[in-house]
Amino acid sequence: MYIPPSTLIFLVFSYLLFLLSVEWSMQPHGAWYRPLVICFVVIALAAWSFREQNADDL
Amino acid sequence: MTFELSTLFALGVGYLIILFGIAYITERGWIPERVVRHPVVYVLSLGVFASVWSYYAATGNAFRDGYGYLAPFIGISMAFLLSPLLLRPILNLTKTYQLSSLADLLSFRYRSPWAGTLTTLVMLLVVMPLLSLQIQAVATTVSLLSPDASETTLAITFCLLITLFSIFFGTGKGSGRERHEGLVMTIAFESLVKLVALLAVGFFAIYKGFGSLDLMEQWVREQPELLRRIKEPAPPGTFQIMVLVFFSAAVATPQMFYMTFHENNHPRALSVASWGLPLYFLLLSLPVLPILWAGLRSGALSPMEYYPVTLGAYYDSELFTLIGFIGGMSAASGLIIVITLALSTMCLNHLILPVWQPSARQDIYRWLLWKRRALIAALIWGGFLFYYMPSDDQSIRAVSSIGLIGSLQFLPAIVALLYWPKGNKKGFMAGLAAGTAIWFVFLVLPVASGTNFFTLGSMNTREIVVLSLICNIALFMMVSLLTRSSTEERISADICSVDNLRRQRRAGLTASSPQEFIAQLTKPLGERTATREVMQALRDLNMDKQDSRPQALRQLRSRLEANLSGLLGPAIAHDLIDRFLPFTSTKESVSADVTAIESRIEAYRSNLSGMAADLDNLRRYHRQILMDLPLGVCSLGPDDQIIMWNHAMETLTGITTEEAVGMHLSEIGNPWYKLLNQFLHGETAHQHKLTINVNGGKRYISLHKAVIEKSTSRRIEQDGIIVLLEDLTETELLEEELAHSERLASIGRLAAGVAHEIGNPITGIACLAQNIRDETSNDELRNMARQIIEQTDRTSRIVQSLVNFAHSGSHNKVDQRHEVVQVAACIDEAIELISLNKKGKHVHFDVHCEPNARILGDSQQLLQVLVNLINNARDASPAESTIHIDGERIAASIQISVADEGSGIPEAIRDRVFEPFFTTKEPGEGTGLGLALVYSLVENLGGHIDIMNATTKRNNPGAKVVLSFPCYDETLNKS
Repeated sequence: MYIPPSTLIFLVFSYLLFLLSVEWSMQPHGAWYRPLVICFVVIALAAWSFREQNADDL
Repeated sequence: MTFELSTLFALGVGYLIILFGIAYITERGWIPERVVRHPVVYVLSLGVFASVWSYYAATGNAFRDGYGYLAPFIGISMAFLLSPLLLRPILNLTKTYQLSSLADLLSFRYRSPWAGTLTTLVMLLVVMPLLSLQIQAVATTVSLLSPDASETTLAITFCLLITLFSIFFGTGKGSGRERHEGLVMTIAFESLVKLVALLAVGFFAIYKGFGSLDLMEQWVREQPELLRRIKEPAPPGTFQIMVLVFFSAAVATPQMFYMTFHENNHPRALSVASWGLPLYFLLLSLPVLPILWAGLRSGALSPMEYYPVTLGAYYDSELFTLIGFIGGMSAASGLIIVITLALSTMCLNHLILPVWQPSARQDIYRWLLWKRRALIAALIWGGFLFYYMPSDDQSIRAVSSIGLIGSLQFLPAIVALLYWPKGNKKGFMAGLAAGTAIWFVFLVLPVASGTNFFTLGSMNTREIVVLSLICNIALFMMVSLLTRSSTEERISADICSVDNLRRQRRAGLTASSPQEFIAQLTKPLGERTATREVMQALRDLNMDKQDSRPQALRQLRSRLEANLSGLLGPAIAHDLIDRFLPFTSTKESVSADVTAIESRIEAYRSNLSGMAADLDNLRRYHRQILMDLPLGVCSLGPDDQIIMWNHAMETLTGITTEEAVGMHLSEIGNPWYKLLNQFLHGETAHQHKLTINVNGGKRYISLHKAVIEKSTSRRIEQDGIIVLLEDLTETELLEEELAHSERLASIGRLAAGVAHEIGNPITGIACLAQNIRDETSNDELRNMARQIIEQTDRTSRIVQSLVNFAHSGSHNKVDQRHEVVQVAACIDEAIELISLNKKGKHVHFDVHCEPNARILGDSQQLLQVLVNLINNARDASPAESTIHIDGERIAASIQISVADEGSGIPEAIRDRVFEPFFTTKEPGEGTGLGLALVYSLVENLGGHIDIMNATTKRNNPGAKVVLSFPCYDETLNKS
C-alpha cells in the first residue's frame, strides 16, 4: 500500500489539531462557529495534501 | 402563510421537468464534455448523500444534540479525507472488475453468490425506511404549506414522476455497465440546488430573523440555556458511534457506492472529492444553526425539522418558503433516484439472476433492461407502501435512522477485504448474520413494532450498536481463522488486498482464439450477445481478433469476466466463464504472470520512493542489461510460454518483443520453433554452430540453456528455462573468407614458383626459335619459328603476370617509393602506353583531371593500375566508343574513375571480379589476374577500389571503376 507523504502529514496534523482544538472550540463564551473553523482548516489541509498526485494503480 | 396546492404542484412538476431537461441535453451531448466530466460535477453528484436526513433532520438534531448534528457530515467527510486508504483501492477494484454495488464487491471478494444475496437482503432492510422517509418529507412539506392537500395524493404523484425519471435516465442502454452522464449531471444539479437553497434560507434567517450577524450573536449570547445545550458534550460514545455509522455509510450505502465508484469518470475526480465533498458538507452545515435559532426566535409551531421550509412562511416571505421547498424536494428526489438505481442492479444480480436467467435465444440486454426497470418501479413503490402503512410519522423517522445503523455491519467485511486476506466467506457471513440479527432484533423490531420482544437488560441503543459490531468482528475473525479458504477465495483475496500485486493465472485455455471464445459463449449467451461481448472486450484491450497468444487470451478472458460481471454480477459471470472458458490445467494455478506483475510495477513506479524506488531502479537496470545484451535471450515458463524476448532476439528472428511475450513457443513458427524445441528437449546444455535456413539464407547459431531453479519462497513460484542464442553467421562468413584467401595465397605462391621454374626453359625455347627464324631460309620453318616465338611471348606474359601478382601482395613498404604523383600526368602516360598497342580496338578518350590532383606513393604502381583498368575498359568497349577518365579532388581524397560504354558488370559477379584467375574474357585472352593485381596495388597505395555500372541504362550500361586515394596536401605534409 502506498501512502503519499503529504497524506501522512495531513493525518498527523489533523489528529494533533483535533486534540489541541477540542477545548478551544467548546469554550462556553467562544464563538459558535469555532468547530466549523477547525473543520475548514482540516479541509484546506486535505486540499493541499490531495493536490496532483499520481494514481495508485495497484 | 399557505399556498395553493396547484402552485406547489406546478413548482414541483416544473422542477422535475428541469431535471428531465438537464438529463436529456446531457445525454444528447449538448453540454460540453469538459463540463460533464469536470471533477466538480462528480463532487456535487456525491452530495446525493445529503438527503432529507441532512436537509431537514439536521435542524432538529442541532437542537437536541448541539454540535452532535455535525456527526453525519464529519463521518462521511472522514471517509473521503481518508480516501487513499479506503476509497481509492475500492475504486480500482470496481473499475477493473466492473463491480457496481457493495453486493458485487463482497460477492467478488468472498467468491460466494450467497454473500451477494445476503448483502442485498440486509441492504433492502437498511434502505427501504430511508426511501419512505424521503417520500414522507416531500408529502409533509406540501401539507404544511398547503394544509388542505391530500398527502397521499401528493406522495403518489411524486413517486410517479420519480419512477419515470429513474427509468428513462437511469437504465441507459440496458447493459448496466455504462456511466449515466445525464443522471450524474442531474444529481449534481440537485446537490447545487439544495446547497444554494439552504444557504439562501440561512442568510434569510440571519438578516430577516435577527437583522444582522452581530445581532444574531448578541441574541445567542443572551440564551445561556441554548448555548449550554449546543456545547454540552454528548453522552460518551454517542458522537463517535454516529461518526462511525456515517463513515461506513460512505461505502456501505447503495447510493454512495453507486455514485462514488460506478459513476466515477477519473481517479483524479476522487482526489478532488476527498476535500471537495467535506467542503460541500461544511457549507451545508453552516446555515443549520442560524435557521434553528431564527425558527426558535420566531416561535414557529411547526416541527423543527421543517424550519428550512416553514421559516419563510413565518416571516411572510413566499420566495424563501418556495426556495426551501425546492431545496427539500431536490434532496429527497436525488436520493430516491440513485438508491433505486443501485438497489435495482443489486436485486437483479443477487436475487433474480441466481434463480431466473434468460435463455440463449432471448435478447439478454433487453431482458435485463426490462427487469431493471421493473425493479426500479417496484422499489420506489415499495418505499411508498412503507410510507403509507405506518400510522404515525415518528416511526418512519426512527426506523430510517436505526436503519442507517445497519450499514455499519458491513464495515468489518469492507476493511478486511482490503487489509485482511485471511478473511473468508464463512467468516464474513457468520459475522454479518450475527451483527445484523442483533441490530434487527434489538433495534429495528422494537422501533418498527413499538414492542420489545427481547431485551438486553438496560442496554441503550449506543451499547447495542457496539455489541452488534463486536459480535460481527469477533465471529468474522474466529470463523475465518478456524475454517479454510478455497483456492478461488485466496486468489480473490490476493486481488483485493492492497499489499498485493494482482496476479493472473498462467495456465492455458481450452479456447485457443477469440473465435472459439465466441463459439463457447454462444451456448449460454446466444450468438449475438457472445459476439458483442467478445468484440467489446477485444476493443477494450485494443487487441486484434486474430491474436491467439496465450497471454492475450488470458487477458481477454479476464476482461470478458469483468464485462460480464458488470452485466450479470460477479458471481454469475465467474461461474459462466469458469464453465465455458475453462483453463486446461490447474497445475499452474498460482503461478504468477511475470509480465503482468511487471506491467503493474511499471504503472506504480511514479509512486515509489526511498528504498523501494532504488530496488525498482536496480530491477530496471538488470532488465535493461538483459534486453540490450548482444546475445539473444529468451526465457520460457514451465508451459513453454515465452516470458522474455530481448532486442537481439527481435533482430535475429524478426519477431518483436510485444508479439513474442505471452506466445507459446510453438507459435513463433519454424525454423525457430524447431530449433529451440529440439534444443530445449535435448540433454545437452550447449550446442555449437547449428545451421538453419532463414528466408533462404543460411545462419549459424550457438545455443546455451539454463534451468531457472524453483524459488523456496511461497510468493514466488516462478520457474522455467532461459535460452541464449549466439548468432555466429558473421564470424562464420569471415572465417570462410579467410580460408578462401589463404587458399588463393597458396595458389599464388605455387604459381609464382612454377612461373619461376618454367621461365628459364621458355626463354631458352624462345632463343632457339629466334635463331631458327633468323638463320633459316626455309619459309615454312621460319613461319613455324615465328609461331613458336609468339606462343613463348604469350607464355612469358602469363608467367610475368603470375610473378607480378605473387610479388604485389608482399611489397615491402620500406622499399616502396614515396613521391608526389601527379594523377593527370599518370593518366596521360597510361593512355600513351595503351595507344602503342595497335592490335586493340580504336576508342576515344575523354579525360578530365584536375591539375592539382596529387597523391603520395609510387608513380609506377599507379601507372600499372591505370594501364590495367584502361586496357580492360578498351577490351570491354565497342569500337569508336569513348572511355571517360576523371580525376577530381573530393574533400581530402582524390577520386579517379574509369568508365566505358560496354556491357557493364552483372550484379552476380560484381563481388568476384577482384578474385585472382576470375575473368569474363574468352579462354586464352585473359589471365584473370589484372583486376586482382589492381586491387592489390591500390591497397598498397593506401587507396580503395569500387566497381559499378556507369549508367542506369538497362542495355550496355557500361562499367565504372572508381579509385579513391588520400589526397596529397603540400601545406599539411610540410607541417
